[in-house]
Amino acid sequence: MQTNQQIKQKQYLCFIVLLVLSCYFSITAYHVFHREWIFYRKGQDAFLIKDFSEAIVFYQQAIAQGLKKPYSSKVRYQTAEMLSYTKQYEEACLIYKELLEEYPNNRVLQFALARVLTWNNQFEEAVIEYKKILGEYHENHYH
Amino acid sequence: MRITTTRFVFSLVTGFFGLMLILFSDYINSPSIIEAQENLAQNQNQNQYPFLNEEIPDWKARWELAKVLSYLKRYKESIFEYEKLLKEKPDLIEAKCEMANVLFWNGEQDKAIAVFRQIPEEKLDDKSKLFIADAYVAQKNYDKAEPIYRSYLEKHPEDAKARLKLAEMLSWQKRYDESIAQYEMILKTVPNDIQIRRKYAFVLIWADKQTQAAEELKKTLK
Repeated sequence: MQTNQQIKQKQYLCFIVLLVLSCYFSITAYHVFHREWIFYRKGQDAFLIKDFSEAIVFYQQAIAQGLKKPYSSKVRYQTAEMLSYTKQYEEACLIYKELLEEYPNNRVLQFALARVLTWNNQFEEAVIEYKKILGEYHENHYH
Repeated sequence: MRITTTRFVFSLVTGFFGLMLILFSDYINSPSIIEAQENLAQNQNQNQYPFLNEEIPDWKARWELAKVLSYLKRYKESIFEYEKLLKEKPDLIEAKCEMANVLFWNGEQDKAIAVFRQIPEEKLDDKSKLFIADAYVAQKNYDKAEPIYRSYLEKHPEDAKARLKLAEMLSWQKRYDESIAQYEMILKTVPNDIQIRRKYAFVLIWADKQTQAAEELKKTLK
């Protein structure tokens, strides 16, 4: 016959085991059901230590896993930045142009695109983008 | 083992608590929640572009436009943009230097020098000082150009391009011995440059050193 104390000890033990299991399952569940955030955080960590190649891979995986807006837009913007740091200008331009379709007339995006076009020696296109930012671009009269 | 009501209730409550803990852990770990709180604290508008809060002022865009136009050799347009920029931001020394360079490339040496003169000398970088010297040479103002070249070469003795400019200028002034000395220094650093060696040979001819000139010219024909 168990004493009251023994019963209480068993109850406490059950409670602790349940607590530990719930913590374990919550962490596991998070890794399973929110993989995009895991990749997002890993991408951010890699970005902070300037490991851009690694960060780009993690960010691309985050987007592939279904990272939602506006975080996916932020990730794509940072990916474009890193591509330009690593001189992958064509790929960076593509992303900026895609983002500009979603956020038209955004000056930050236009400026970033113009700079990358300049670095890629696409000076005529860069001039057009800078003039758009300044509100001085007239398609019919440009050339 | 007989399950008492107390034990049953206790197990149920514990199980329920465990489930709530799992769901709550998932909820509080969600980065969207964390960032929403952070954004609220920072007073940002979550509906706009939370990742693009940076402002791009007009003068920055105009500055970059002016630079790119100069790369395209559209100097008049570039100068126009620099002038607009400097009306708004007259203290941008770097932009002033760049505009002076573009004026120089556009053949407006007088204006280029006038702009450089607006800049305090201590704020001019070596590259800009070289441009001033080049502008003086274009005006045949060799006396003003020479100290600038020599001062620059004291700091950058390895700069063959700058040394060549000095050597050429000295030859135009018929200071052949000094010019020859400069060419010899250049050819120590770039012995295989045929064009420089030919220019050196011509200076030797003008200095009446035909034999030496012939040897140098032979080297360029190998």
